Amino acid sequence: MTPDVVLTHENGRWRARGEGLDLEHEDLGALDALIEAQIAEGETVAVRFDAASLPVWTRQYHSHYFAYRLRPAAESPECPEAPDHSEAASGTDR
Amino acid sequence: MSANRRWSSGMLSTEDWWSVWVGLALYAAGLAALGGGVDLVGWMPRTRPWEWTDAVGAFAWSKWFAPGGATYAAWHPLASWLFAYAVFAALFAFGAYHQRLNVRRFVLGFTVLYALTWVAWIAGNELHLTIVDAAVDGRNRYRDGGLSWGLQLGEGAPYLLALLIGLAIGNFAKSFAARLAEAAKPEWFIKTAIVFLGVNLGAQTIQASGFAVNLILTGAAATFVAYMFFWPIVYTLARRVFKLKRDASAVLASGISICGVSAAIATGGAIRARPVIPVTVSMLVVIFAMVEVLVLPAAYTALFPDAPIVNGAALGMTVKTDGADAAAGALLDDLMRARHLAVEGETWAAGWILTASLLTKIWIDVFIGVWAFVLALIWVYKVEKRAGAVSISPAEIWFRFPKFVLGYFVAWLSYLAIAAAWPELKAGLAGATGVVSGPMRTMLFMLTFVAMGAVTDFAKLKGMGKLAVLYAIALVVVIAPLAYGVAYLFHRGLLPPPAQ
Repeated sequence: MTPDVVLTHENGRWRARGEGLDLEHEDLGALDALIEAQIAEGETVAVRFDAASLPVWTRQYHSHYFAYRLRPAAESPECPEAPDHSEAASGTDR
Repeated sequence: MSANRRWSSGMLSTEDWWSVWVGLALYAAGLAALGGGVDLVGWMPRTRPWEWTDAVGAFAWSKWFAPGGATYAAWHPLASWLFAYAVFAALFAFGAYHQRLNVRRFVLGFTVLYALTWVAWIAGNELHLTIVDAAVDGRNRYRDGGLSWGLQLGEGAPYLLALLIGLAIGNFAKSFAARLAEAAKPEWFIKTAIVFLGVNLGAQTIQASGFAVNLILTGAAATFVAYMFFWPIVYTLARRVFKLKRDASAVLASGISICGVSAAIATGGAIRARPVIPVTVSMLVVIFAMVEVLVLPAAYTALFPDAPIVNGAALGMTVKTDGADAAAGALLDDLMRARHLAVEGETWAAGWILTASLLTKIWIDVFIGVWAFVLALIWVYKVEKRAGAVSISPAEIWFRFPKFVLGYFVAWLSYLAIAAAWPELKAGLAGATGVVSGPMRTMLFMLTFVAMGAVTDFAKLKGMGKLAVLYAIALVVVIAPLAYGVAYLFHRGLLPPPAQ
């Protein structure tokens, strides 16, 4: 069984918990890199967003958000640089 | 909570699966009456047409509704009404418990919704609202009843009333609407009703197999065309004209052009967007879907009265969310049949226009998992360029597959299988399942209308800014006309068979 990490999105930041980890970052790609840095090379981590953290009224329409597997690259950055994600959902293009 | 999900995950914890369990359980209960068996569903009350001076003059509950099955004919109407409440409240509360909803709040809310549903259903069957001034089977009930006026809305009148009651709560009694929120689950109610509609499709397939198969195949083809055209156009519009970011554009394009809220959430997940994006788009979808329900059935009936199946299929591609589409389809079905009867003096068989609307929508729903998977791959490989580190399992397609569709197909195919395997039961099949596909299905539609209205708050449009403008433009300029064109291409000339 692949080790699990559960994601939530709280106060504008992604948070990953599980397997002894509790990491957060405003950018998901950067959070992935933080997770990769914590796990052994060659190991795979199963990551799943906790759909229960979405507003209750949305669950009747769709109860699954996303899941993926993360495999650390040989050279994971120890301190990933976060892309600028300050724009709102309806904001203009980068 | 695990990313190592099994294929059976969610079978007892999601409303999608619970619509299958509740729907198939009641369908199976209906089948128990086959071959001289036991009538387990005849207690369900069936509403009756009534005229207010008659009801006031000599009141009797039986003028409004009575048990649907002959076995239960001796029951007092109120006993059947209370029994139906107890059964449906228990079934849905059981599901709510497993979905970890607050069961007490759910039951209280459901009780109010059930009562309001029946008020609308009974009131909506008053003859001045429903009856059409035309002869049916040699009898003109409008004239026979001595009516001096009538709105002639057909069986669509109760639906409209239910919708108006729900909207009044959702927009003018918001604290009350908040108290109903735990039980106001239009998608759960309509998905259960759609499982029942599988029974109707079975009966329709037996009645006119060629037509039914034609609807199924053309619905699939029309859906494919819709996916190929709608999404790229809306995405390009969002990116080029409205300068939205990639993630917001993709989620919005799916919400507007595919299947509404479920598509927005599926796409948001596929591209790993911040949840605020699909949630914001979902709020827009719910509000615009309500506008579509209020406008499109009446508009299509007035503008294209001779193209019922085209209208139905166009609705299926235009109206987002299953609840709104089924609601709009049911309204269109009743309004168009009433108009056809009034103008042409001919009665179209009920349900075919709704089926056209629903089949198109179901095909759209079925492919959302595949579409989201493709988008996920595009995002990982092309946009984020993280193919080496992130992998998406094809199992995601299954997790995004709408499970109520399985219930719909099980009901449809099992109905056909029983008729084929035991020809001696074929004649009794429609009668045994008549209560399920009739009053039970209609009541769930009515519950959907009330609940959908109660969760729609038009004030939420405030502050949506250019997302709302883009949604409105895409809907009016792109989706509605293109959907109608595609529906015309595949369904032109198709008419429902005459009522038997």
